[in-house]
Amino acid sequence: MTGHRRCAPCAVPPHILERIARNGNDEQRARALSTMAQDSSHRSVRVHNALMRSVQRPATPPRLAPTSGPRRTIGDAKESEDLPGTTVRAEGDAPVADVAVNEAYDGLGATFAFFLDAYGRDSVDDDGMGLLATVHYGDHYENAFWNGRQMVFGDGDGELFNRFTVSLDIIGHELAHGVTEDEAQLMYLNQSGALNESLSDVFGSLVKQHLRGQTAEEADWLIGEGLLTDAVQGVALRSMKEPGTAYDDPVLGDDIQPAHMDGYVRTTTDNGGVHINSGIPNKAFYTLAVALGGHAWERAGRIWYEALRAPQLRPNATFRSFAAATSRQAQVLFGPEETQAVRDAWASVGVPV
Amino acid sequence: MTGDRNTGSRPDGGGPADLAGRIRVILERYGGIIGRPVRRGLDTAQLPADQAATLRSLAASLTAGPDGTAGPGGTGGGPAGADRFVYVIEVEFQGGRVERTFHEPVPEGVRPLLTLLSRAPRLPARPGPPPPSSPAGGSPRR
Repeated sequence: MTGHRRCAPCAVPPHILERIARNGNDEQRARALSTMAQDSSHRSVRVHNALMRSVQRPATPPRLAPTSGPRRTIGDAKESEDLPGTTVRAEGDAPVADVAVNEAYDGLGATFAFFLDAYGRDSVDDDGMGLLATVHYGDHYENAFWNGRQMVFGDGDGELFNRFTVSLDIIGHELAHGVTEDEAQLMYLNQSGALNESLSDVFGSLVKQHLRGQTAEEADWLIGEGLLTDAVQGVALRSMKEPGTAYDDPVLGDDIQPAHMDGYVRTTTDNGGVHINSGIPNKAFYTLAVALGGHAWERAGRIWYEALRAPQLRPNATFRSFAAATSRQAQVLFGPEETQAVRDAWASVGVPV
Repeated sequence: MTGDRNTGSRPDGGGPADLAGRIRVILERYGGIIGRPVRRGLDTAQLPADQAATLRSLAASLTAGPDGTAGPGGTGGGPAGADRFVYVIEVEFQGGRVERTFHEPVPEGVRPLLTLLSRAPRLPARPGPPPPSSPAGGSPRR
């Protein structure tokens, strides 16, 4: 990460600062506004750096040669919630007997290779950041997450969920949260939060497709493939191809992801339904990828990646503003055919560009 | 983390929670990469005496103090990162209820109660109408 983002004021997410500014007393409001002003100046630095990068960026994706390749470290929390846990495998070490450790190690490697090969990106921060993952987190912990510094994987309850390292797309999803945080700091709330989630699904799926050498037509477009146990009536956590169809289970419930703005879910839970409404941009990306054909990371993925890096993308981006960013990038990077395909994809989910 | 957010309500206008009688403790978990809410709960009326006593003891740590603020602090704001869980623990007792929201990482003092509730039977989703949808092209209210 760049140094300016490590400052103390940035520890409080922007949406919380906005909430305090809106609802706090005079003193709290003054402090929040002051912090937001400082954060804005940090954003100015980021915008400047992004502009400099865009000026220096060649017409074709750069193929950087990182000085050292991935620097992976896998920790074992041993069913505690202590991070990062005991180091059990470091870069270059041979596989160990613990399958979760090896899956995490290989998954980080595949994700690093994807971002480097497809977009010339050198790790999470494009500056060779070490990749740290902890496995066996918590007691039957049914989750994987990005905590702002590292990836964390639970073992699942064994009844509904298997270990969370079992899905390469989930490992890619979590690492992509780090990329999004580094590039755009999308607020984890409502539409910007759903975009944040969708970007992780997009790049998580592309990591898997890249490793398998699959085209858009060949890919399964599932997130969390293999994660659900045989006891669950479902195939994955989410389907980018057909949002809302991944599972329908008496215990887990049914998949309620919408595939169109007609079904946009307004809710106060899950940070405004970030894991629900992500189905809409997910479907838009899938539609574009299939329309363009071939390897989805080459054109559709590149457009999404550069839109994420665009200095115009605000932390409170909406589906519509992100759609506009993708349209601009399609025009800059490719041409009218791709630009029209981007507009058609967004229109198909009810987001006009 | 942004500190406490106690959303507890006391129809009796305050005072220590009376946990001597029947209490019901409900855990609602939101978020995570799964994104599905999970609801679990325990009721002292349906537990053996020793387990009911354990539940009362752990719930008391959550509801301590005249206005609920002396217990482990709830955390109202989201932490850095993504895909983290949010827990809402509700304690219903004779004369009132207290509800606390915790973002991960949860305070140490809450973990024993959270662990106990995480192994409790699943409950049906919170009753109420399904979330409304906005019209095409709409955006959520911020």
